[in-house]
Amino acid sequence: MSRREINSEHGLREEVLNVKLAELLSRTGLLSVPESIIKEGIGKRLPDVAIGDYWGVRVVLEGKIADKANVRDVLEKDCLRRIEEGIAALAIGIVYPTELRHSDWTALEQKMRKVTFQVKIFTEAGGGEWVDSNLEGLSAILRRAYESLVHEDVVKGAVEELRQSIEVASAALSGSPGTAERLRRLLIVPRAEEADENNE
Amino acid sequence: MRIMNDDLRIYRVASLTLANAMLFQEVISQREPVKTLRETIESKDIVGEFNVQWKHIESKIDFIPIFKVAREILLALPSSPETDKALRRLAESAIKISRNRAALRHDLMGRIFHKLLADAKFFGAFYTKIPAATLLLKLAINEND
Repeated sequence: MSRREINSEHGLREEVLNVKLAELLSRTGLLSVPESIIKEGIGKRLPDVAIGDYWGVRVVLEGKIADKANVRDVLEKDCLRRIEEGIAALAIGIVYPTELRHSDWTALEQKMRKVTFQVKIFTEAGGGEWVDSNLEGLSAILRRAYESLVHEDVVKGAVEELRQSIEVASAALSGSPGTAERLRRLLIVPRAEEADENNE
Repeated sequence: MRIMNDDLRIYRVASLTLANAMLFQEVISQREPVKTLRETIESKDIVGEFNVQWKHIESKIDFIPIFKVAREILLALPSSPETDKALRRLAESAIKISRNRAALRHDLMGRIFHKLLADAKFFGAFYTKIPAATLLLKLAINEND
């Protein structure tokens, strides 16, 4: 981590906290974070967000310190954008407590293990609620979000949308009797009687 | 009654094929000089406009298996307000689904079609699961081919 990132007169930057949090989550085995993100910083620009992997699902950590106005609103917009852009299937918005801004670098890890964050998880299905959590609590939050993602609510919604439109379109097309026969020949769909015979 | 249900099955398969082509068109329109679905359904001649766009994709871009069949279905439909209504409804649905760009990236469409086609009652067809299809494909293709 470069001294420029750490010892700024304005205190620690949010990117530093994001990378540190990713590192801690990676060490506990909760998140698999690429080495390139954890070791980034020596003479290079830190990434705006940390990206990790949770059971094969790409996760973005997007954090802001609570000492600025509307941090929750900004985080909500940013996290939803990450999901929409396809950068990750799951985004974690984190509001860091103000005390972390001016934390001493050597004590940062200990502090991060003790403080309470405000956390909100975003998936393709939308956002949850803001909840207070510490580092350990993040594990349960991530697991719940992962499970909801696996339930494929997005897929269910899209399937239902498509199913309804197919019903409406089919009803509209059925108005002209000759169409079905033309489509049957084209799609090579057997008549129900023929299909029944084949299944016997 | 049996005949009506049988026809409905055909219309559903045709509608699904059209919806699939529309979803592809919308995604392709982001990168290629192809009209968006919104632009297409605003045309006075919707069938004609879809035909132009899909023919262009077929000949200049790719995805022939998707657009060739869809275009044949399109041309088999009569010119009527009902056909326009059906195409508009399918396109609106495709626009809604394709708006979720993240979902498209995460192979949403593959998952959607698996779910839809897995419902035998809906399409009156039995969908071959991917592992079974792969096995059949390997059996059908001679290794020396």
